[in-house]
Amino acid sequence: MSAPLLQVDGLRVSVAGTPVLHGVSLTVRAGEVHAIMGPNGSGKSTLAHVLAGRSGYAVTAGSVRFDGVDLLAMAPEERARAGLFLGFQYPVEIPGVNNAYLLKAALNARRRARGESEIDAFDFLNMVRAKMRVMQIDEALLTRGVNEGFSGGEKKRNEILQMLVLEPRLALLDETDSGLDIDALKVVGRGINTLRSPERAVVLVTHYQRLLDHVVPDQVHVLARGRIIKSGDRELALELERRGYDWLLEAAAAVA
Amino acid sequence: MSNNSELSALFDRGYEHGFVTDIESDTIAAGLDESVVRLISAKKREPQFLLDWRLRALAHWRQMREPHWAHLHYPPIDYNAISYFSAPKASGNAPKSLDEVDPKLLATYAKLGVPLHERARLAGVAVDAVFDSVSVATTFKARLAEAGVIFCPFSEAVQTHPQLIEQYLGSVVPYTDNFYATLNCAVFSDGSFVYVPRGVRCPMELSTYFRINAANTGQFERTLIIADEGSHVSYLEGCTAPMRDENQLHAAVVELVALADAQIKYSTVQNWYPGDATGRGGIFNFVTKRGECRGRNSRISWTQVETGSAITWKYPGCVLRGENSVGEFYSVATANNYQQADTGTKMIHLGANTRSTIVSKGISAGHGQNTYRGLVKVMPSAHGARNFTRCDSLLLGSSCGAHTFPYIESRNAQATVEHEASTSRISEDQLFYCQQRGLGQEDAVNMIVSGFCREVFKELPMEFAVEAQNLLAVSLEGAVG
Amino acid sequence: MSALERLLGEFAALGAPAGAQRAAAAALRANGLPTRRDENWHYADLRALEGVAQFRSAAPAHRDATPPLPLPEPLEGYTRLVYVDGVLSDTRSLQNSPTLTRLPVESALAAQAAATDYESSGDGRMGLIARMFAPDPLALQVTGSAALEILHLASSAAANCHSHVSIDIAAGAHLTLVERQLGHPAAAADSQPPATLYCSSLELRLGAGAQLRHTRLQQATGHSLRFNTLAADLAADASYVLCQVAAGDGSERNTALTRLQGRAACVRTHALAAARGTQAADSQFTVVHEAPGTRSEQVFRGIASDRAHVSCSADVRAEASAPGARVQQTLRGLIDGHGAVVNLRPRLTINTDDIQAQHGATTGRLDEDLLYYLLARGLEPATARSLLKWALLGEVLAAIEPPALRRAAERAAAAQLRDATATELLQ
Repeated sequence: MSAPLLQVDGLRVSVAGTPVLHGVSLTVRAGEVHAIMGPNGSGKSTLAHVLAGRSGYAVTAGSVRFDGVDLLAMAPEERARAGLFLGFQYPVEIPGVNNAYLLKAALNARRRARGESEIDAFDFLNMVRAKMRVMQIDEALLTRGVNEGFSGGEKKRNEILQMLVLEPRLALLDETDSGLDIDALKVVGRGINTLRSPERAVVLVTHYQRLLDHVVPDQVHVLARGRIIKSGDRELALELERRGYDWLLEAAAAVA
Repeated sequence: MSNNSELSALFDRGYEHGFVTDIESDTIAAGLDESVVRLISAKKREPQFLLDWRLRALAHWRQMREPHWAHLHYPPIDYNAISYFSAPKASGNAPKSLDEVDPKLLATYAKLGVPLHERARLAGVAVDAVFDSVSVATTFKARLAEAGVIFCPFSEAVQTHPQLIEQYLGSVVPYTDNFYATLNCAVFSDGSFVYVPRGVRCPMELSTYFRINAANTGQFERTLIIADEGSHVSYLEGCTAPMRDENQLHAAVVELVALADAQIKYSTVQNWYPGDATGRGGIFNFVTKRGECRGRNSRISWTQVETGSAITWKYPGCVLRGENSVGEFYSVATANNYQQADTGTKMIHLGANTRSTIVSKGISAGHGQNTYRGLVKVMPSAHGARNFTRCDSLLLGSSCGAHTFPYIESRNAQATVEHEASTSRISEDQLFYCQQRGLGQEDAVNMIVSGFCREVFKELPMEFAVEAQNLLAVSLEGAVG
Repeated sequence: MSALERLLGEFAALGAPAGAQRAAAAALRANGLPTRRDENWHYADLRALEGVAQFRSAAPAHRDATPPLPLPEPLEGYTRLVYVDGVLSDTRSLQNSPTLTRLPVESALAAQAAATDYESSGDGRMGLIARMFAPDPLALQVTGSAALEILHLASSAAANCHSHVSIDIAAGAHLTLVERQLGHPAAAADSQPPATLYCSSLELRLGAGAQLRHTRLQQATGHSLRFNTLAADLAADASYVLCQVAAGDGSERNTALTRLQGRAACVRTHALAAARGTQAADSQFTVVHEAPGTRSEQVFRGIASDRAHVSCSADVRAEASAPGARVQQTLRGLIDGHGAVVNLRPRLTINTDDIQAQHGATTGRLDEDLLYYLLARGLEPATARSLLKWALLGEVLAAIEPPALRRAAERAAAAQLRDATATELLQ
């Protein structure tokens, strides 16, 4: 087996003094797709934000290594340049900042980090246009402000477009499926599958299993009350769909 | 600002126009009395009416007191310690062509990136260059003349078109208007004059580039733009000054007149020396700019990017007299280090169905103090008048100030005035989003700030939008982190 | 002689008042009365002040004189204080309230002596006139929970009413305060110069966690000229809600300064002004955020009919010592007459970067779309216009408690708007 791309060990995190993650461990290898599922308030988004380096989260114990390097010691932009991508649950609007401009600046930041030259403006546009077609995004959105006035579905598709352009080694997608209709879900699923390759990994953070119909995970973890209480394969997600989370929570409570 | 290296180059650059041109100048002794005014007028061989007007202004000025209502703090200005006239020494009359202009001057403007050679980069822009209050060169005069457009130094227009000067000078900003404008009326030395005849669309952007060079002089230029019926003109002014430890006074007056169906677009990229990081030196910029939409369906649009000066005091306004006339004001003002800006606009609605739009973006950083001050006044005659104002302030750092002082005075039951404003620091969410996409903090801040200003930048002529954006980054140097 | 000279002359003729009153006079002499050149007095009716014939109170009314007009129904649970010509006519009710303590007058005067810059030279200067001439300064302390109603009446059409009240609300205490200015029924609404002068000064100090709900209803009949000056200091977690309704005859200027001195202190001001004829209604609300996490909200609604002037300056300063401050201002004015004027000035002075401050101000006519909608539903134009005006004022009126007081405020507003239908409905 290859060395892990992401290795989370005993991660404990507090927000404003309140513990939210109580020792989470997770190993993701290149080529794998993991799904982290769980009820609302279980700490899924916290985990995603801590990995991406957002301020306001205090890591009280544990470690995270990304490609063997201490991830927690890196600034958010360094993590991004190293190939970690967070698809936001609530993508931010940045009025006045051109969508294409952000995309190009982000891509060049990543390319420079890899020692590559900046992308030619013409090549960039051709590449982005092709990926926009995959994501069925109207080209007009390129010249609009970042997420400015986008519908919920457009914002989510735009996140996946950014992911396809930046080609991260690890994509953390936080509730990317929420608020999408059936058709959009299919498009987003197709986008994610496009990225799958032996060098990359994807972690889907989700409440429902419906995205997993389109992106089949290698492993499924249930995060509840700040702990991973069960891991399994695709079947676990389907079982959750049928039975909900309560049986697992009860079982976990009984053990504790 | 497309990448890091460009950006850091910008950040390392600081104020890049701070050099002094070593040129012999004809500077009169400091102090202000009637003889000084007569001397300036005589040097310009002005007609009697103009001298009389200057003297009336001087007499009035002596009765006036310096205003202190603005949110500005500065040491008292000794108006007798200033020289009211300085000109690069010329060998006789004004140069007939660029070949006769002192090469040192041409080099100065080349260094500033201002094209005085018509084949230069901004080939679509006619430039009038004003050096220490005196116009040194105007480009593309011939091509403009073909269209019937007059674009020349103010002092030249006084000789060649005295009837236009007499008719329009002081008709928008009277010599009694305010302390600084009145002072300007008495001692103004030069500036630009534009007349666009009836029905003519000016074939190119007009631009005046103001440069203060000499020490201990005030700069008092005066611009008058007249757009006759149905004409269009777009005009841009740029300004720089050397780095000096002393403060220098700049008190300009700009008057715009738009007759029926005429449009004037006036853009300013103000980059006077702002003083150093400790607040030493810098230009005191007390400027009166006003346009009058005199005819029906006329339109005056002010766009300003104010990044320079130690003190900025200016309120470009529109008097909307003509029915259906439109006034616009788009502004980006930054105050970094110890800069202070008190700027905004006045929209005076007199005519029926007049409309005005105000978009102001203020950015404060370091110990900067940035004030938006705006008056929207609707007179009883302005039935159906409408105003919309949007006024946003951004704070970068905890020692700066952002102040919003709008005045809404409405006297018409059929008029609508709407004002919205917000003040906040940069959003953590936006910053994190950009950082997660791999942008460094400084780049992210710059990107978000220029997005914040975009509504204003897009009003600038294309050639200057990029320059404005770069200036913004330089002006906010060191503000982040 | 200028108003200042005359009023200082009258003060000197009063004999030898207390030192604190003399200090107020000295401060006024030193700083002068505000003029239109003062940025914050630009919209006030200061010309009317020059026309005032007499500044001091008239021959003081008897302490047990019969109030000159039928008093409004008492509000249930409230302790009522009645001022006639500035003289407190009956204080027995105070003795029955265990949570309201009257402090010795000397203490009230001592409070006067410690005038702040605001009162001695700033916007609060008109409060000095109240201090100089108030016949019955009053100082109260609130502990626990209390409800207090203060009525101001004039015994004749030409009596002045000056008052100076200082209230300390102890830490954790609650006060509901109602102030009503009722005037004199026989006073003509349009006498020139104004027959009655009201100058009031109200000082409020809120201890940690104290709460104050304050309703001011100006419904004075007769052509009076009123200058109300208010200063409130809030300690940590204190909360102050001010509802102010200006719907009386004559002209007025309300000046209020609230200082949020303690962490998380909060103030909300809901004000409305309905003016007609040649009235001038001017308000200046200043809030200074001095401590972290403080919040302020200012709401103003004004309607100017005929040739009236309605003005509101809402001035918020957030100092560097107030990170995390939240500021919201919404000012709306409606012009309903040729010659009517609305002036709005929402001002933000921000010296901290950790801030969220927003303001909006609009003036204009009634919303044409809404008007059209109502007409399309078959409403008479007059009814439709009236409905929309009430919608504008509703936000402020709805905040008034108790209901009996709200109805009084609505009646006063209906009279100002000359809204016959509403007046009838509200009877």
